[in-house]
Amino acid sequence: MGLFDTPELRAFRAEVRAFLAEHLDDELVQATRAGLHLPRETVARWQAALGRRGWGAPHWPASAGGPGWDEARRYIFEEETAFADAPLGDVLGLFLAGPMLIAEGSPAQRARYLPGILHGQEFWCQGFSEPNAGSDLASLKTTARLEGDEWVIDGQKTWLSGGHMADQMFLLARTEPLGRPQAGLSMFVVDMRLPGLSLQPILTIDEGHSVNALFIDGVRIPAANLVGQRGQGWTYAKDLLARERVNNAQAARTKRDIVALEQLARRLTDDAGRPLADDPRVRRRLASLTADFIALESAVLGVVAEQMAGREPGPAASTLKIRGSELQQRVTETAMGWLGRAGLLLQPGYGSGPLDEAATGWVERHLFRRVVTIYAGSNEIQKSIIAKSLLGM
Amino acid sequence: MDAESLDLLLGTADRWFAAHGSLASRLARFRQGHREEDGAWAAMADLGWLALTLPETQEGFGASMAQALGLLRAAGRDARPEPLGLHLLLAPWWARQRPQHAGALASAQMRLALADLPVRAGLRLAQGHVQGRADLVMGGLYASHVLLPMPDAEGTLLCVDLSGPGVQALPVRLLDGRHGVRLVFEAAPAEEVGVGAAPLVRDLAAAALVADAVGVLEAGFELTLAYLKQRQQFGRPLSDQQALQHRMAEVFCDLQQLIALAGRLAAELDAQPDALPATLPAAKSFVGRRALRAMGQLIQVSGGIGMTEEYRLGHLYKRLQISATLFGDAEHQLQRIDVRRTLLAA
Ligand SMILES: Cc1cc2nc3c(=O)[nH]c(=O)nc-3n(C[C@H](O)[C@H](O)[C@H](O)COP(=O)(O)OP(=O)(O)OC[C@H]3O[C@@H](n4cnc5c(N)ncnc54)[C@H](O)[C@@H]3O)c2cc1C
Repeated sequence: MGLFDTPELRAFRAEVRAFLAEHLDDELVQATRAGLHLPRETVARWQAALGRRGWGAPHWPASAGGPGWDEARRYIFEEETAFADAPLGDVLGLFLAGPMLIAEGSPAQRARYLPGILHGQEFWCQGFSEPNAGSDLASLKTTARLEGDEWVIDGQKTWLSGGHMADQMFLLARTEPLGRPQAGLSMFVVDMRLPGLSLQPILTIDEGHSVNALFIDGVRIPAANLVGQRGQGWTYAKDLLARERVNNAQAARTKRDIVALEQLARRLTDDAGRPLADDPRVRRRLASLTADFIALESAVLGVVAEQMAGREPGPAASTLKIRGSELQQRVTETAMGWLGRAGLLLQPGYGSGPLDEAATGWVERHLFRRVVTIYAGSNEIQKSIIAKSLLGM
Repeated sequence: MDAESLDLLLGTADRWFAAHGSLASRLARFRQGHREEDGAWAAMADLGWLALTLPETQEGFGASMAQALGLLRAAGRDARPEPLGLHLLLAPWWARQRPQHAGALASAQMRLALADLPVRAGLRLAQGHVQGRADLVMGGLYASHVLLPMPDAEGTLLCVDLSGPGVQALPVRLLDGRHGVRLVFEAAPAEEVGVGAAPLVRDLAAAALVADAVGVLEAGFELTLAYLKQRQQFGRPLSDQQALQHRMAEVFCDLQQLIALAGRLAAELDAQPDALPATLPAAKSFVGRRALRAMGQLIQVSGGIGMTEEYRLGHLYKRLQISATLFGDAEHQLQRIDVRRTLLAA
């Protein structure tokens, strides 16, 4: 018997499916299948539909606007939306900014920002990394100094995912220049339309635009935009990154990808015209990816249960991030291998994707997913976290 | 060819590559991709490169494949858009089939391209005319002739004059941004080059890709090594981190083995120019298995910068993906390896 095979959960799954059948239109599905970096309107339209139903943020507590599900329901929901090829919401708002504001924000901040995330009205970006502060995030140099009832911010950020679509940014900046680097950081909310901010696109190897550099020149924000306590930014950032890592395992989406991979193996043929899926080596490869996936999913469910019980995931999330990201890469590497020549031919225009429809989505994902072992704290850094905080090495 | 004249001939290579559509200049306008400069072929003919591997009796310099490797490595290092490797490996073979073309090959009047056709390609030959399409053509953009290894058991190889009737060229880009063409033939006159030639020609092209991969991996390795020594995190260079030292040492092992494989392949081609080189399946599958993974590791240890179009590494990675796939990918090459014959042959 499967893990979710109870009458209640079956009924819940049916309810989610019915909702998807009614609200997830073909345009949303096609956009999700074809593209990696969806336009804001697509994501916003879907998020609004979820928000109206009260399902805008399944992982948030009910008091903050979540649906009050347990981990099984949350996972079933993720699974069903992944399998239906529903767009991912604004990950930065839903998984990073939202939970941080729920944990550390003032009542006024929660009231101001959470509804916008739930209903897809406001998008977020993350201003942590700087050109010289990547893995060593605590060495960041962007400063915020209090002038009357305003913070004045100067510096430079980079790698802002979705920065060009965002309304708000959560920003880590240095407020105390002296002492341990970690101790002097604070967290802020910054309106992306303020004067003094200028964005520059960074194009990635998948020929897509999702990240940006940001120059911050004397930007003024109200004192009330400080999140939590002054000087506590590092602690909030660490909690936020741990939450991000659970999400970064991307279990449900990876499951969907493995199913898509299996479909690809049925569709592609070998030199003799037989479906690849008939080749024992291909079947073995699919089986080993599936087995590794089940191992990942089992571990994810354990951590998600902790999270839904209100406990922060902590360093254990690092194991999910490492294994989840590696698996994502192996899935697309496999697809590229099977696609062969079809994965090498692109449309004549820059950024317009592969020529062969069978390769659509796979080529971009394969290239962009080189990043999943790098961002959200690289896998090397995760391994150091495991060694230090769990193994006492 | 003696070592001194070779040095003289190749001494210019790095400088010429730097001055004519260098990788750096192509990166600066990465949206336009990796396109050959007009006149590149004529210039390479003037430099003598196109005659490098042609025999001295046919207006060539008679360089060995082992010697030509130096130029191919340099071309790989700069991710050249011109299919120089294909030319250097195919030209002497072609000149043996068609001695009258040697001069045209040396002068760039004749520029060969080669299609990588799936075994079940829809190409048909009837009464000296070919019908169908070839999607993946190495060196297709500026070629004068294309070689088509036919999908038959006999290993038929056809040659089609691209300026002749019945040939349509559609623009396409490769994964790494190189420009190419897809060819559509409608009753295009085709010449049969030699029965049984297709497998050898494919292996020659595969050998060119191995040679190119050496330069590509080497360039990625050196770039990354220099970057790690210079990039500071946690108050010291990344190159101080043991985790990264070990990764780089691993890639170095792969690179050294790839260099050795390419050298052995070249020596085999020099010894028996008309035989399928025994090392090819091992060398070519090495590109698809180890070299490609090594390049992925180089992106990893470079961090975010390795993900960007403005940086070399991604372009090298994508180029390597092409070299790994065309003319027999790793799976295909592994299947060709007969363990007993490979290991027990004297
Ligand atoms: C596409 C993309 C999207 C991103 N989105 C965001 C975003 O929205 N907001 C944001 O703030 N940031 C974002 N990032 C930044 C990302 O988090 C950083 O790239 C990441 O933290 C690594 O930093 P770095 O790139 O400076 O690499 P570096 O820190 O320079 O690291 C380079 C390599 O060295 C390794 N390394 C570093 N230190 C050690 C050590 N002590 N021991 C062993 N190995 C080590 C790293 O693992 C990595 O492999 C994004 C990055 C990319 C590429």
